[in-house]
Amino acid sequence: MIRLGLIELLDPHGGVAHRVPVTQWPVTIGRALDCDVLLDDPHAAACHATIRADGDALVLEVGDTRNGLRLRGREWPAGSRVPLAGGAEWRIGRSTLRLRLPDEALAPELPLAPATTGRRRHAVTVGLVALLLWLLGEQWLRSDPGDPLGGYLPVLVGLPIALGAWSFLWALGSKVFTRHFDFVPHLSLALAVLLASLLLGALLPLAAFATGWEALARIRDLLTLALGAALLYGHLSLILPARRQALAVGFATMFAVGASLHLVLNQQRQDRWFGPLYLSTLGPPALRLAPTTSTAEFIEQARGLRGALEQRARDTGGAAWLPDDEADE
Amino acid sequence: MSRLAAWSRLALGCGLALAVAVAGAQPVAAPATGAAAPVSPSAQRLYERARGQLVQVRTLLKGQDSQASVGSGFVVGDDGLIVTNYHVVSQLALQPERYRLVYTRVDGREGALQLLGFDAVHDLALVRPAPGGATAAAGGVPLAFRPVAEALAQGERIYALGNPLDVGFAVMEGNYNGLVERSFHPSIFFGGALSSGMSGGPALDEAGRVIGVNVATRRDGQQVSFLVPARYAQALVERARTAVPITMPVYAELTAQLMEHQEQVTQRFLAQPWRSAGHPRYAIPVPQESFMRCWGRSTSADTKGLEFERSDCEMDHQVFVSGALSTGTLAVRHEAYDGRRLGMLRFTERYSRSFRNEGFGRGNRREYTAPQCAERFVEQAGLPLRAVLCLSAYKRLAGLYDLSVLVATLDQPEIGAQGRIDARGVSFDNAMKLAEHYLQGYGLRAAP
Repeated sequence: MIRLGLIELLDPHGGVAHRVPVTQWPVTIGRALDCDVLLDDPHAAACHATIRADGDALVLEVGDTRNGLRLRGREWPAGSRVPLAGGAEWRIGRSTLRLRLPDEALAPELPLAPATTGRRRHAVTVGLVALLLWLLGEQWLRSDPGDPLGGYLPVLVGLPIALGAWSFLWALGSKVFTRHFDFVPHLSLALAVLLASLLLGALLPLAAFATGWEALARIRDLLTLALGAALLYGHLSLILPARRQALAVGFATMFAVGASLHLVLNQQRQDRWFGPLYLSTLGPPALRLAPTTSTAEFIEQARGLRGALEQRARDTGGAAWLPDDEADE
Repeated sequence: MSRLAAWSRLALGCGLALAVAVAGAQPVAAPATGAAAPVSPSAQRLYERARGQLVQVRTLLKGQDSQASVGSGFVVGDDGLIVTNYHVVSQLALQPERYRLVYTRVDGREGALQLLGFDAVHDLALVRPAPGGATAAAGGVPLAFRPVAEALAQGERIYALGNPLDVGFAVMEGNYNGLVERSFHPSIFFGGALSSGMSGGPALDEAGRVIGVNVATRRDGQQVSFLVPARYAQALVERARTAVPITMPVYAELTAQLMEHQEQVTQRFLAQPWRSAGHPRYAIPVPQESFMRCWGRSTSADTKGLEFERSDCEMDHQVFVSGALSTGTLAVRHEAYDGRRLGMLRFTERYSRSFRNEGFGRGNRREYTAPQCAERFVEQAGLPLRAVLCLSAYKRLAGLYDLSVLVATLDQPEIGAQGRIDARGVSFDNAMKLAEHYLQGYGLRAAP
């Protein structure tokens, strides 16, 4: 017997639940016992569809059904005839079927997920240690000499628990949708983003202090927002790898909307797009690279504020969004 | 630097007239000011003579005729003019289209009032009964001012009259205790009880002559109250007795008065040299205590962490403009830090946190613009500084600004000083002069 093809019944996650080899055309599909492909689906008709050979081509004929079938994004009612090629997928009722043919081109072999490599694990360990050291360092900075060591405990215990729980929940999501419990990929993603945000959060204001270029400190909020969006996008694209593109568009839009909202709120509350009002981080004096100016020059610079202030003072309608009580108190 | 609240203070003026609404719900809103002495025979005689000249001044919301604020006033001179506090009539002065003013005599008769003039800096206002109405005096002789030449002696008996908390007309006995020390404008220290609602009432000597006008009390003290000296009321009467009644918002006149006030404050302040903060390394500007009051604080000697010393200097006197706006003050403060027990990294963290913990501008966007700042590294007398200068403009008092200058020294890895000056309600040029004067107060002290 020559195997002419294969009809696969897919499970809800896209995996193959059942295969029916085809040795001759036509092939009938339905709930009736005499069908070649037997469906256990109450929304399927007794003889829902038939695949016939029409010369060299194959045609899917929709049988006597009230629901019709769905193929290539279209509904096909009873009596339709649809040409079929290898790899075609269609839905009958709640079942998904796929046709495999010997002459169809195969997708190339995919490399194994890097999560399983030893290098990845090594990097995760290094990242985890770096993060722990960073947070312990912050705790050390905030403490006074001679403070009890107990202050470090929440960091030492809390961080691994929090990070573990976070990655575990995302990995559960992966398990549901991809059937792989991708704990390490989720963990390494969270680690990378957290480290990046800590590093940027610390370095940007210091760089602003060193150079006297305040704008560096002012983009921090937006960067944090971008990193947050990137983190969620990363987790979700691990869970739904097939939807990466849609997710990217979605999160880019969310970031754009969130960033605009943030800027607009800044503008309304503080009359400026980017906070903070002044460069509020001081570094060690040795870090300062920017030159100093004289008091007289500084006062001269401050005189330049006058025009903007006078213009804003005339704009008395600017506070219309404030509730009366707030404005009066 | 977080703000030190070593003492709480009744905002001059605003408590008296405006706290009445609260007092209505809580009759004991005014502090139990100790046991008031029983009224002496002279108080009785005095009250009998003066009661006819006493009125309650009420600001009513037009339309519904409910009272928005309540104060007192008194009739001076033959033409029926009434002196009261500016803060008693401020709502009418700023929003004449929404409020109207009425007086109530001791015999219960009422009448409409017109605002003739005011002196916001000394918190005084001159009103008169609307033409066609009855006189506000319920008989008797109008009150006269005690001549300035006849100075009062400390401890002399004086009597404050008014209508406390809208309860009824009353006389409060107390003592003259001289002028308030370190006050920018002279203010009489009255050792007696004043309550909300007595604002604008007269304070009389034993002969029944007006020596001052009730204006404020300290809520954290007992019988520590304040009177505006009579000569300012007398000057206002002279100046405004023939004025045209005010029917439009008085922002222009207010601005002019505040401009004059800030000019005086700035000039007196700039004329003073800075005091030394006593720091071994830095010259840090600390103001003279001629019209400011300074409070100091430091960490205990056995601290394991950051050591600091701070000083907070502030003017007592604020000019009441409206319930949402007081202005005309100066404040200077600094903190000197020593982090040698902490090491450079930990010191830097705390020093930076303290620098970050600063607010600028006031939230009320109807009255002020959002702050606009200039910031630079400045070198002053060999000392590198980070300087932040922020200004907010007043929206309804054109030409007045709130100034804040924040400074942090940046020459040592483990010690430093941060300071700040705040000037409220100054002109732009004076703001610049004050900022420059303040920055010039910094420097490195010559090695001993």
